[in-house]
Amino acid sequence: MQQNAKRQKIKTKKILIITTNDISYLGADTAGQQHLKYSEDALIIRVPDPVIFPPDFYVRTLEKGFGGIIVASAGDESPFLNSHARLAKNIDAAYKIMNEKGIDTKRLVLTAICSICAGSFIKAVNNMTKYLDSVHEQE
Amino acid sequence: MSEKVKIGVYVCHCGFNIAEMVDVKKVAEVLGKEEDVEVAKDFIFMCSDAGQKMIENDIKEKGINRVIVASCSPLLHEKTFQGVLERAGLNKFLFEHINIREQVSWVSKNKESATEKAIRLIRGGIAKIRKQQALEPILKKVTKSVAVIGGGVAGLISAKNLGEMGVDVTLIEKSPFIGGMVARWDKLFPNDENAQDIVRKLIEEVKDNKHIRILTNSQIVGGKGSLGGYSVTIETISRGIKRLPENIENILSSCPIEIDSPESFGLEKRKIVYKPEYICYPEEYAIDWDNLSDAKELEKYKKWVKESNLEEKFELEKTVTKEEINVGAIIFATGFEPYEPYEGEYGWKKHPNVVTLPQLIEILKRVDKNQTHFVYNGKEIKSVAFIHCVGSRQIEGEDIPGPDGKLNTYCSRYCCNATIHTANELKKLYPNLHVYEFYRDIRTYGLDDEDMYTKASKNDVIFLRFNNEYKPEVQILENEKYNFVISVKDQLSYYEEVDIPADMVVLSVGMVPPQIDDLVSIFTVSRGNDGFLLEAHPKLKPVETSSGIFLAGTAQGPMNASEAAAGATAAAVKVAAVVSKDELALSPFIARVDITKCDATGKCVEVCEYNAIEVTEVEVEKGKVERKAQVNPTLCVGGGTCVSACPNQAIRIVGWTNEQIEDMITAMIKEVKE
Ligand SMILES: Cc1cc2nc3c(=O)[nH]c(=O)nc-3n(C[C@H](O)[C@H](O)[C@H](O)COP(=O)(O)OP(=O)(O)OC[C@H]3O[C@@H](n4cnc5c(N)ncnc54)[C@H](O)[C@@H]3O)c2cc1C
Ligand code: SF4
Ligand code: SF4
Repeated sequence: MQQNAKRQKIKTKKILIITTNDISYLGADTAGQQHLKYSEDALIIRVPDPVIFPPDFYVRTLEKGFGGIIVASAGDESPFLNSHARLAKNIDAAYKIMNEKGIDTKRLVLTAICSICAGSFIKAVNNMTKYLDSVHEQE
Repeated sequence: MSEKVKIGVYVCHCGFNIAEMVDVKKVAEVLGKEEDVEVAKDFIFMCSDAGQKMIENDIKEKGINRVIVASCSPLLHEKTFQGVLERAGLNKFLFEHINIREQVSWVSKNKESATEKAIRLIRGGIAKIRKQQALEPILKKVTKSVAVIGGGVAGLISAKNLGEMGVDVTLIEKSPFIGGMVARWDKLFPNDENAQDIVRKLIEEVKDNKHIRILTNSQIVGGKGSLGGYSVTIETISRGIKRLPENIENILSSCPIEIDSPESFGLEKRKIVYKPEYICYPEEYAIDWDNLSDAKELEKYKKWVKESNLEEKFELEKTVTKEEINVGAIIFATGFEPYEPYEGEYGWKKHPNVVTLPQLIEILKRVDKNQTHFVYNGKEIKSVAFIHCVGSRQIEGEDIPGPDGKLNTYCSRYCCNATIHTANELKKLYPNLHVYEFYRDIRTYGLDDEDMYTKASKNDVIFLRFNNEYKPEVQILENEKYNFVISVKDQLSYYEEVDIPADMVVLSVGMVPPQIDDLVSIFTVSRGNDGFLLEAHPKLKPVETSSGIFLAGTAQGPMNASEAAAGATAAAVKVAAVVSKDELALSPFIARVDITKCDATGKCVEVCEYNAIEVTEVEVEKGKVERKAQVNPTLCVGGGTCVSACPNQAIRIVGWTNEQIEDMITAMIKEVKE
């Protein structure tokens, strides 16, 4: 579970958004087709399914300099059986490592974005942007 | 020695679509300085002939061996640009598509930041493509025949289309008769077509086609394989009739075992040896073994057969035969079932005149059409009240979940139309009958459907609108003029409480998925939240699932017969495209095991839902065999659950390795310098 970790100043407001090839990447595209604006700090990548990442991957990504990560899973729309449940377990394990390392767990968010969910996509990005704005340390 | 990586980066303006918000020239200029980048160019329309030719020439003339196009979404043009690589003689998988339109220019407000974002994303692409290897699709020999599961309209239409194309089809129906639900209806909405004629025509076409083999009383009980080649085990139960006695009706009158007939939705009793009254195939009697599963009932049946000297005619016990067939593709056309209300739901099971819509259709098939009054259960019906959305569009906190603990939150889509159509039919038969419809929303969405609604309004059908929170209440009256009074807060008259008297309450029950857990687990088909089978993608991959199974008709969700027919035709065409090939090119993006890292713990085997990995003996070097995980390339769907489960990092998805993605991330976060 996501727990309250210490608030920690972060270096960049860059957000890594991990989408799935078949579903949530299309959700992000839908937001684009509707010309909905969001922060230019949000960088989207796509993979078959974020379930490929072990828990320490997320910690490494934050340590590399990303302020936050949004894992945009396909949720129940996932074409891969049971992948969302396994992904959720990986994220929970990542939260555990983050807690141990004193990294604020709010910097990693797991959300389900469907192929037409432009609204939920924008909401997830804006929430993370707002959060990172509040903890970002100007260098 | 591996050849030197030479990357070509092509940045598209898309007219002004990208160039207005992204400084494309700067992007090309900055990225031209990246390691391994041989050329970086911008162009007004990269997908134009000139744009494609430019890339093709660079591959041929400059020896570019990795290509990045930064343009619109890969969903639009990934294939276009992969085609360019192929034409230039380069492996099409040495290509990376970066989306700087839908995910940069169209969503940004600040040109400087948008330009920086585009640079970061393309840099990520460069890092990924650097480690990309040429890939070849996995080739699989195709078995040129098809199994269609379910003999309703959808299954019949899929089988017919395939049969007409010369494809061998085995049509597998679990009940003793094909025809499905439509065979039970009379006139079909919206245009009053005769359901019996439609199903009869389909049955004729299917049974006369030499490419189609029909198996009734049959179910798939086992199977393995994947798209292109499955082996399927079918279990067929005997019909139980050895030789039909001439005076069958007379003989059956002495049969002691009677059940509520499922064919009449429980309105009538029927014998255990039976044949539906509606159109079906084969038009031969069958023994209802399902209803003889109780040992006592079976004994009773046997006793009757023996005492009536029918042992030569009827089997005493069912015989089960198994056969294995090989097919290249499978279509699920397993249909739906009508929702069964719970006891007390709007008076269900509390009064015989509370019926479901399928029951009312059945009742109307039996009424004497010359009568001017509607008589049911010996009493004239003067007023009928339909209640919409029963078992559909359920809301947490307001509705009672079904036996599986789930609410049916979806709209069943057929029932507004079927209800209004039936209301019009009632008014046609009995113009003086009072007909009321209690509805939440009217969803007469299809061609000609709205006309039925207009006609109903003109026919004086009275519509009352309710909010799910304040459902209509059905009160049963004893010894009064009417059987019921239905109270509702009618939204159309500002939530005024209205009491409607009725002699019959009709529940417009929704569609629910049938019980096909076994089939679903044999072929690892995903189901949606609603329990119906799930398409891989409704727009990009309709009627096919991620595991290679195809879907026809209501197996994938509520729909009317025309929609089921359209889906069934689509599935047949897609399947024909598969089985017309000798070999199938499967996606190369599947799991691969690095045997030098694998220690055969088998964690991957545990998590793979597709049974695509096994730990087996592998020759690790000449003459040395060890146990290692091995992926079956034709079963793997490339989801990658195994990748994070492996404690040794020994499994990767080819083309999407974790190392490539980590490199991308490192490259994307790097400072952007001009
Ligand atoms: C009351 C009512 C009235 C309707 N009226 C109309 C109308 O007027 N117009 C209209 O367009 N539509 C109407 N419909 C909708 C129409 O009935 C459906 O669209 C249609 O039946 C869908 O056909 P199908 O083949 O998908 O499914 P089904 O008709 O349900 O057929 C599925 C078949 O698969 C078989 N099956 C299931 N599981 C297995 C298994 N494991 N192995 C082998 N076989 C299996 C079943 O026995 C069945 O024969 C109505 C529906 C209802 C409920
Ligand atoms: S490739 Fe895509 S982005 Fe470029 S011009 Fe064509 S449509 Fe526009
Ligand atoms: S089609 Fe009409 S009656 Fe059926 S669930 Fe939808 S809204 Fe309700």
